[in-house]
Amino acid sequence: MKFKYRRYLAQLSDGVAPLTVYRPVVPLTLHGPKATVRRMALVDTGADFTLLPQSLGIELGVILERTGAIELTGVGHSIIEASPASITFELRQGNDFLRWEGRAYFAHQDYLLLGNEGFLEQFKATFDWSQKTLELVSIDIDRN
Amino acid sequence: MTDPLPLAEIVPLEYGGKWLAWDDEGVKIVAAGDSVDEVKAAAEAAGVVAPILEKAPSANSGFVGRI
Repeated sequence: MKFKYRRYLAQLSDGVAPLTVYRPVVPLTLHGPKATVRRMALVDTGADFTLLPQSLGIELGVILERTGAIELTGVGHSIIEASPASITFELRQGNDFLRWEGRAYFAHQDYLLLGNEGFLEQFKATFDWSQKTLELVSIDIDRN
Repeated sequence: MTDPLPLAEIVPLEYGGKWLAWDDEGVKIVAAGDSVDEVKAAAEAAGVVAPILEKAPSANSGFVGRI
């Protein structure tokens, strides 16, 4: 599956023209015991794990493994606690779709970051800045 | 050569930090607001039953996957 980078206008300083920021954001479907939800999610090769909002976990009805809670840190000094849960991921493009079980971490924040565990481990991923595309080829399919 | 991949609408400055509801193909923004419930309701009113939701990063700062 190949996805176009998505475009966002940003005004990072006063008196400067807005610039267009391109991000590898993909439409993702998540299946839980209580609900199925559709969200845009950023593919983040620098993220060790897949991080989802806790509010989304509640909506999906996932069972958080509190004993597996870990601390996560990013740029800056903030540290948040996140709890893992198993979840069903689905990527769809036209008539093609991929679905797999994976582990995500849930924390009190609003963003979906698709990192190595849970997401990128499933694919051969090609980020092409010149074409502003992200190609995801399932490792299972690639082996066949 | 024609590019077969759909190019999504650009997210405008005024939607930075907002919740967005995209159409079924994830190409067109059908609603924007301050909460999930608000944009879900607006999307449904616009005829999109299962919108793809997104919390747009702030338009006034760069996004580096911070937490």
